[in-house]
Amino acid sequence: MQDAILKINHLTVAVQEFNKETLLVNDLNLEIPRNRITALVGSSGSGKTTTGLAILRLLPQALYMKKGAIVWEGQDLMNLSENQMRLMRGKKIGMVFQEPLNAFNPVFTIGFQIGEVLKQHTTLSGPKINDEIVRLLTTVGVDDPPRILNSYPYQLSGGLRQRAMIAQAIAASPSLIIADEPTSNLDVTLQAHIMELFRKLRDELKMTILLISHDLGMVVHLAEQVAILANGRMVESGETKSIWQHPRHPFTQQLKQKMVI
Amino acid sequence: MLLELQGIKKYFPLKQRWGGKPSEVLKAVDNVDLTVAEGQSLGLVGESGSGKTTLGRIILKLIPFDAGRIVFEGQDITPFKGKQMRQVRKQLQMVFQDPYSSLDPRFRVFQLLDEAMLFEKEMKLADKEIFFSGLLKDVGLSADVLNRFPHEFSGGERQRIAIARALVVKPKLLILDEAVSSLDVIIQSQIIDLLLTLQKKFNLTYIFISHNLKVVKRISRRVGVIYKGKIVELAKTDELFNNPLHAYTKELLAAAIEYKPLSIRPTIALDGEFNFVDQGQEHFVLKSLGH
Amino acid sequence: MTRNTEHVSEFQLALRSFKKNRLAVCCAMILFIFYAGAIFADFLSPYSYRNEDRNYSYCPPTPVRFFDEGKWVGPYIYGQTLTFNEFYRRVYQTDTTRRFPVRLFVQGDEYKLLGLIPSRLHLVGVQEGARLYLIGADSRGRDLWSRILYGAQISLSIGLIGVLISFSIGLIVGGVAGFYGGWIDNVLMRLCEMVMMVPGFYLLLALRAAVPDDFNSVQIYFAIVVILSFIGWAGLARIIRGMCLSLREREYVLAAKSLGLSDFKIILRHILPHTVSYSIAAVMLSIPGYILGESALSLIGLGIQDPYASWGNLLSDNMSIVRIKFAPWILWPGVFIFLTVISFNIIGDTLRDCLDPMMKAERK
Repeated sequence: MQDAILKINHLTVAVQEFNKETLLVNDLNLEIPRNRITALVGSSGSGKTTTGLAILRLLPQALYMKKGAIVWEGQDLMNLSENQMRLMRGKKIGMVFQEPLNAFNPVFTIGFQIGEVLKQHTTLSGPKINDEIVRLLTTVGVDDPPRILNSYPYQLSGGLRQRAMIAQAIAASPSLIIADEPTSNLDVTLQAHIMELFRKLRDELKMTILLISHDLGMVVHLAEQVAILANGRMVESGETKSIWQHPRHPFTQQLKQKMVI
Repeated sequence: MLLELQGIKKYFPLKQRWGGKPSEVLKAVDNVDLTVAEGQSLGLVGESGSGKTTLGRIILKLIPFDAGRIVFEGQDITPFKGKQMRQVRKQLQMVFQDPYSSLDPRFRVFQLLDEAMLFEKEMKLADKEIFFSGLLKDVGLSADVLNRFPHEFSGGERQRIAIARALVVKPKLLILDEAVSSLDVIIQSQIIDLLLTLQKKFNLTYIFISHNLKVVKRISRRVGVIYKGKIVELAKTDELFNNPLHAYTKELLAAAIEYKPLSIRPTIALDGEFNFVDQGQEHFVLKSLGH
Repeated sequence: MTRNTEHVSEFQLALRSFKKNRLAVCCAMILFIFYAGAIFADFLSPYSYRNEDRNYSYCPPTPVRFFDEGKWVGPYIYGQTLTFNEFYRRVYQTDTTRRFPVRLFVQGDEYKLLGLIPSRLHLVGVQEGARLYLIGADSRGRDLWSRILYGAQISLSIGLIGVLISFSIGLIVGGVAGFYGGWIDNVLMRLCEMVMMVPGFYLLLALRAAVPDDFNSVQIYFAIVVILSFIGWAGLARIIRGMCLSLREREYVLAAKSLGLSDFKIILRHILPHTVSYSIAAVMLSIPGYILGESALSLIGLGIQDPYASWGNLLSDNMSIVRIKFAPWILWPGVFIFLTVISFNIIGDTLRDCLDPMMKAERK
């Protein structure tokens, strides 16, 4: 059994709406093994994105963690101060968002924004930063790094933007990448490329990836472990192959049945 | 023949010279010919930027185009404007990709449906309510939806409302532009089921535009593959999926089914003269005249 | 799976958070009181705005007393007589021989309530023989408090009417320019810029100079309103044009087009309503400009003329250090202008802040 890089224990996230408390994530327990791709699968409203945000303590103000611990290398992330947490973000745990247009600041170039991450978390400076950005962009499969470096987010196609965002996420060499619906806005053709890229991150850069998605079909081709969420609860988890071949929970069965083709 | 497209061209200028023809153009739709027979739903697949969305909007004359003709039910609607076009629009409707932005958030569902009824304004309020309730039931929603606002519904429900709105005028041809692409896979499947049911009930013909081949396979009788503004292959659905002939189609299928990444472009040359050749059993492939 | 939420419009949501801001609610109440005071000025003021008595020129505020030799007798005042001291300065001697009770609901100067119903009823007053100056008198002995109330009618209404006209013009111009783009947009925006280019105050003066001399006061009033609206529409038009430019790309606009709606209907139903929320905040923030514009004109004698009162021309009496030193109460109209302008600004700012996050929430 692989050792776990991150352990989520009894995570419960709630929100106060109209004087009523609704649980978005309900007693979630999950171990994320090192150097593997683990997937969190569920439909919208299942709590999977909320879980991803909770790990990095990036929950929107209205949501709060009611209960639970998120243990990273023996330390509960919930006990860290905001400053300490900020050091974790980017450096130890990186995040890739669903819509790169929203994640990038439209008035700064890609190079500037990736550079920000490098300045924050590494000791690089000056021309070395640009070299590093070019190297990162090449790693994620960008064809013409110097051009992309000087481009603004709106000038790039969806696929390129997503790659740029992944480059930004891995810039400080984090051990864990949380990818929230990274291909949902992309074509099937681009989807395959990004999946390939994640495999590369796992195999060559030895990163661990937590993939959040609603597409079980895609997950089956990419992740070794999967956890299925419904209404904030985990209904099934384990090795992807065995869950796909013998789904036990009715929700998982329904998911599989509804997969077209 | 319900719809015929002949030689449709839409070019976007990239570099504009002062007063004159642009020096560089983007050929969003490059000399497209298509026919759609009644009851024979057509799927159009391609990547983003291939021109499929542009083509969909051109069919509805929502955007102007540079060359070609659109023939609908035997009538050349290319020069139609204003009132004339509005009559045609009753038969041609569209369901858009984003259920969150295709419904005006300030309107209640009743008003959204009511707006679509341009020419039957003489209908009494009570009759309208009955009519709309019936429509909503057909798309799987209850009648009390009428009084609510779009933001109270989930993506799948909103898309059902959008479909209901498109059906208000009882169209013959419904264009669905990536109508399920922004929904979860489970909901996608439900909407596809709904569309198939509605097709039988109302005798609709669909043009289903998508990059998602799995979904297109379920809903189309014929499938056309678009690449860089040109249709590179067109065949009956099973034939296309089992026997893809064009290089691009093969790669597209590999990416969609096995998630194999496409080879690095450009491999497929599109310059020069082309012919749309029938390889037998109405399976058309774009071949350059060099072959 | 439908969420059971109460359906409120974005404006109602904004109003809710607006109510939570105490400062803004306070300002709203201030403005409400001012406007109510303006509407019922005739009733609330002890005297008509024309009621003058040169024997009481620059009379300081009459102190209202309640006790006489330690006994409670109710509110009353003493009569005042004008005398001059050895430096030829005005001094008012109080005549303590006779008490003039301050009564409620007294009969006083005649007026027409709301312009229709003749009446003589005033909220407070004293009988003949003494004059009640709550905050003092001006050079002709007119009660400043009354004149401030009457002045509110003009100053506050000019702001509202002017902004309504500008807003309507701005909506139309901005809506058309933003929706169609292209050369229409170009032409209209250059027009806006030409109007905005001329320094506001000079444009104001120039337009005022163009008004014929023989206009009576009512006509001058409307002329001023039109002039102010003419200057103000350009800024609003630009804001609305910007919003329309982005709104027309929304998919529901495309959907409306595909349903066959005419352009006019699309602009009216689908685009302009989405600008109203933000426009209201913009409108609130521009009303002070109109009030100050009218005040500026009246201050230099080009606005509302005597005997009519507006806050601006009330201040014009006072362009003299000597007078301000010896009759400081004549600055009170300035305080009211200040409070009004600040209140509109705070309300406008708060409304805009409240509406902003709602706009983001509107998306999903």
